[in-house]
Amino acid sequence: MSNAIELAGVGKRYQVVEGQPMLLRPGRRRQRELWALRDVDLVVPEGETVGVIGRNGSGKTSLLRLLSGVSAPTTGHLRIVGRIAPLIGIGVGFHPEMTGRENVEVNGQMLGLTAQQVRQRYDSIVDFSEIESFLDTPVKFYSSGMFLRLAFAVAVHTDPQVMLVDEVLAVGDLTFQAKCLERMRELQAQGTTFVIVTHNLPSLDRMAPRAVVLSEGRVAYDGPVSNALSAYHAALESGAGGAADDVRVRVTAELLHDDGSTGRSFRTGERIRVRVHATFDDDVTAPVLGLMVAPLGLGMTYSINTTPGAYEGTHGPGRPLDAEVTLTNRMLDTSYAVHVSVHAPEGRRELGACEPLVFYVRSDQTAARGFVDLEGEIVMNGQVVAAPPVRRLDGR
Amino acid sequence: MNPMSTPVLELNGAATPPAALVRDAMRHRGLLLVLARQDFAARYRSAALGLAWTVLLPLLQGTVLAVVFTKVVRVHTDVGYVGFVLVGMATWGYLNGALTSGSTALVDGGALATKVYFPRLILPAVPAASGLAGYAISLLVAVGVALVQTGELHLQLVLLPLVMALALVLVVALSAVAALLHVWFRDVRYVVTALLLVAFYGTPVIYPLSLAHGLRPVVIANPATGLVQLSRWCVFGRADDVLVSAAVTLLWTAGLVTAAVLAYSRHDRNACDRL
Repeated sequence: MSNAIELAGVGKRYQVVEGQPMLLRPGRRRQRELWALRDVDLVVPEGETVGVIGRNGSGKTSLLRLLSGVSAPTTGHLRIVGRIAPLIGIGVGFHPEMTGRENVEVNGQMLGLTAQQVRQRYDSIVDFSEIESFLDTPVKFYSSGMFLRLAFAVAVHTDPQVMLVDEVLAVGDLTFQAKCLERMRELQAQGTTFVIVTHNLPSLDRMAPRAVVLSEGRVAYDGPVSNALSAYHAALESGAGGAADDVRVRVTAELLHDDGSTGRSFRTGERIRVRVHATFDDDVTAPVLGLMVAPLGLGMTYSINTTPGAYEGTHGPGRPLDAEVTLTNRMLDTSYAVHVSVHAPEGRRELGACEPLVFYVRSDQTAARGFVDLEGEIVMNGQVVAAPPVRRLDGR
Repeated sequence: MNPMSTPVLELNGAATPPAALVRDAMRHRGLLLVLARQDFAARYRSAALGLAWTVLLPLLQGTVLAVVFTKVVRVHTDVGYVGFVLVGMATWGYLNGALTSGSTALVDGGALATKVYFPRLILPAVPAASGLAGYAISLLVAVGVALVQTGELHLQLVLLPLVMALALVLVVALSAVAALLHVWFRDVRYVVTALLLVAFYGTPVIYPLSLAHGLRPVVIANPATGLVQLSRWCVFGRADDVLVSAAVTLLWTAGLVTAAVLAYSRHDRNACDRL
């Protein structure tokens, strides 16, 4: 069996320009070199699946850009055998004004199919996406989950020999996720090579036996997933990457049910506890803590942060900050992400943030849809036809 | 899977050979076509009058200009002014529209271009290709008006599609070079707007070349002039300095095509590093 992907001594350097490129103020423009990847050796045999993990700024995005052919390495050599299908970002290349049908046509050709091949596979793509009734709707009206369904459906129908999967599977409902995983296993069985970039190690465990941990643009670990976790945490602890100019704060957080058990799925009306732990490289007095909840891929639903000065504790090396944010889940069925960040005392400058925590909301409601539970009740001719389930429990 | 059909991607930071670049771009013409069709359809999708705008706008513009330049400022042209100006406006409208969107195409398409690889030349070519339909329609209107005015058509009218093809190549090459520069210098957007503003008056769109007097050499050096004069030659059977201005346009086109191919062979795989 031959190799699908070979990277030998690959490095990628970006020129970072500071200040404006103004002709009127020469000398103000400074160029800095930034090595996003350095001396990366990576060999992936045909049909193998590799997970790539690393914190923000570790070089994951640069690696994906190189593998998809968008960007050429500055040093070293890269060789990929087979048709590459990137599944990166939701609805990239989807035109908001065009219908799902028209976008399938364009996206298929963008991923290397001919117009005829797209037509032949069209029905199968539609079947897989399960959004048949929306195909003649402009995609600007799609939810992020629908976007993903269509994008994934097109990507898996291009006979990819090498498939690049970014952290997109976190979107979409659990049933569709399961379907995607199943289809990916099918493709794996057919000999498709996968590179999966993720923050979510447990999900990787089910997909890939092998993991690569990137840290500061170098391969910090390459081996079985089971041992990757400690390497990943070591990379996190080293504090590398990210913004290098400020005091660095590493924030970790987890979602808990009211009884203290961790969870990713919460019922409408349930309490969500967000347990936060932050460690500091340098002393910070009176940090500000902020939390934001957002439906995946969309704007903010809710945010809360402490008033600057309301908390006056001092933290530093060896004096971590522990906090807990309690939320009442008033959201309806879809996927959300929680972002927790720690800011400088004046509240503006972000010192550190945790990776987004994704969770799903399961609602008991059959009548209501949307993001927020407004606890609507419909009375028709004196008869209660629809009511929020909480009231019904009250013995109505 | 047939091993012959397995594509192999090899990258080591070297420039893409110009021949391979052109071959790759030609292989992706299907993608260019669907993107252009999408661009065209999306533009009129939410408009109640839809496609009719491609006819209405140049017609309105031509009528206004015709009123101004025959009733207010009296410009004398050998042929009827309305047809004369509509031919000019059709050509200018195409150049103006396609260059404005084309010169920022790489940055505007950045979200896409940084995720999926296809020859970067495709992106600036999309507005140039999608503009062709409107260009053809407005030329058709101009030809109709000219026929009503003069009551005759000329044999060289069959060459008009060739003039359109020349305009397409010129616009693609110019957009491609500008779009690449725009990645590094975001001033390009404004420079292009400014140049187009000046070039409108430096092109014999609303006035005949004979009125340029001492500035005639400058106007002829403008690559758009050749296209306008060639189109008028096709429609009316005559135009001032058509040979020399056409030669100038051809030279510009050849030069810009060479520049675009060389620039993209160097930057095809790193143009999007800054997006």
